[in-house]
Amino acid sequence: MIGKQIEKRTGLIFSLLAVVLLLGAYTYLSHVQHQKNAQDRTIPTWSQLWQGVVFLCVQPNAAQDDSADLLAAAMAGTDMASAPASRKASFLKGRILWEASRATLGRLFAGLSMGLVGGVLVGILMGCFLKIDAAVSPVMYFASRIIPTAAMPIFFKLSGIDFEMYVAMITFGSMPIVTLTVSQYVREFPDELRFKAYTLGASHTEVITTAIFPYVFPKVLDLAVLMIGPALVYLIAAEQIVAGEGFGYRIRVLTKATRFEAVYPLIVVLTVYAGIITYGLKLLQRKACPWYKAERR
Amino acid sequence: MSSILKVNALSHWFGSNRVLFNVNMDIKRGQIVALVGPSGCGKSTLLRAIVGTHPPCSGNVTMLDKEQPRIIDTPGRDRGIVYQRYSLFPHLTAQENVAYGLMVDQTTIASRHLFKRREWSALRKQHMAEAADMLERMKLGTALKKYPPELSGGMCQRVAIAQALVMKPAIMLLDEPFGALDEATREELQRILLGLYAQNMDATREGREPPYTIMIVTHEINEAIFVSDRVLGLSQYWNWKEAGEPCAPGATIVYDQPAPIFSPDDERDFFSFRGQKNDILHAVFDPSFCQSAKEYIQLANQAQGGATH
Ligand SMILES: Nc1ncnc2c1ncn2[C@@H]1O[C@H](COP(=O)(O)OP(=O)(O)OP(=O)(O)O)[C@@H](O)[C@H]1O
Ligand SMILES: [Mg+2]
Repeated sequence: MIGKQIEKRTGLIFSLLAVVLLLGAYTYLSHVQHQKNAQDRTIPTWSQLWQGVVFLCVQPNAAQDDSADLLAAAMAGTDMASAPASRKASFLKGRILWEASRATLGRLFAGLSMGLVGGVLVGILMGCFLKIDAAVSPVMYFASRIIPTAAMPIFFKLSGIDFEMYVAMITFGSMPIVTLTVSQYVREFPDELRFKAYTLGASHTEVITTAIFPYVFPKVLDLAVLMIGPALVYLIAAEQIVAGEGFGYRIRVLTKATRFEAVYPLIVVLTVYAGIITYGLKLLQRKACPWYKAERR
Repeated sequence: MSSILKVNALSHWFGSNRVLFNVNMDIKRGQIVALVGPSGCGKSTLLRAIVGTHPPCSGNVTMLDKEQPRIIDTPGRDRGIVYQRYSLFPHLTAQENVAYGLMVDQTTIASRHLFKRREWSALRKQHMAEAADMLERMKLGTALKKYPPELSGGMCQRVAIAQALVMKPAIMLLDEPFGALDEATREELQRILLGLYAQNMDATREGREPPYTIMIVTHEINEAIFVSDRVLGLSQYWNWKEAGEPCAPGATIVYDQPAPIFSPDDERDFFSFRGQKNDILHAVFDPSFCQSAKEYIQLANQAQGGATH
């Protein structure tokens, strides 16, 4: 029957099977490729991939802007002896993966939280006050249609290529959508509940902070999860063009040197980061809004 | 008996759609008034005018619970409301829902979070205890910590009634509160209202002011007669030609009669009030009635006589 329920274990077995099949296919592909060309780095073998991971985790970060230097060092296979490995913090400091994560995640967090906070504030005001809505929504509609990656050169020109530029870009990329969506959520807040809050003696501010905001909050977390994808797209694209650090930059440089054994792990790690943030937001939603799941039952 | 709420020559229209015409009513303290009428006649519109969320196009609603009469144009905590849908805040538990009104009425955001945090946490405990107490009285002692989606429809409406009652409103307004419930649950809730009425009678007997004044909108005539002590009929089917109106002006009060009083434990015997039910069906719900001229006017005169004496 279509839509028949299955047991959890059966589901798990099928999922695992698919993963094993994929990994098997990759292994085979890489094997074939390496029989043709033993030096191949576009479809690295598992041991090459491991070397890539080691490279990312222990390679000290060479001169940032000079990718040729970095590559030379990478090719030479600089070992751990040159790294200050006494304490954990200083060990992490300067490692490619660590520095790239710090740069990319820092920009992502700052940009996304500004986009979300700004979007929620403006969105709630738009949803509550029709005059504000009338004034802001045309601008927001237009802004939401701008493709941030297309507008990127303007950002570079206007705000340089520093941290602020990435933050501004992610903020501008996400805020219009967040604003419009949140104002829609606010309008979906049932009239009956709004009226009831007033009959119970709530002030305008209290209606917003104690009734509308809690109602909208879990939906904002869902929205945040959805916005991680586009935000990362803008960020990585910008990093690939102008950054001197970060995942986008590393991927570009290593790809140029056809060091795919290090590129793939970078992409996987980036995906895992997105997954962890998603999980964290979902966890926050479950803990902070226990009613929300019950409502969607 | 003193008046607590008056509707004076209230009319309402949406563009060319004339909905309410010259509605007058006078609700006395301690009454449970049932408002019945055909679907779409404007019962909810009238109730919204009384709640104050949608002031009428002409005429007014006046509250007389305090010394100074007040004309209503905004919602306020003197009028509690129970809706059929979305009756509770989904993000609050049953207990928190009931305590919500106490919180926003007695404190401000600044006092809760900035200036009087210690006092607030003590007060909060008190509010939660009061809410728990109120829910116990609604036989919901086991559902305090449940969120509305986890409650059945009947439980939700009981919490909603508790939420309104805990504020001790001058009048509680219910818009088809039991419309979505099954018959057995409906009866349970009807008996809750009868319980409140019984407390009113006790109070009157002891020379106190009756604590509960209620207006309930319903499309169930049996329910109206069973829970109320006075039934109002709102209908667009009346003899407006005789009143000199060129075209249908909208619904007005066409029926106003006392209803038999039941105590919470009485048998609910629909058969015993079928006479009144037929009267209401005829006067309020029958479209052909407006053509049959004079009867309505007599009825309305009777009704007005009944209300003012
Ligand atoms: N916001 C509005 N804009 C335009 N017309 C409206 C609006 N609200 C109500 N109406 C119209 O007013 C009339 C009365 O509506 P109302 O909801 O008050 O009726 P009701 O007696 O409560 O009906 P029901 O028994 O179905 O609840 C209807 O004809 C409806 O179409
Ligand atoms: Mg209605």
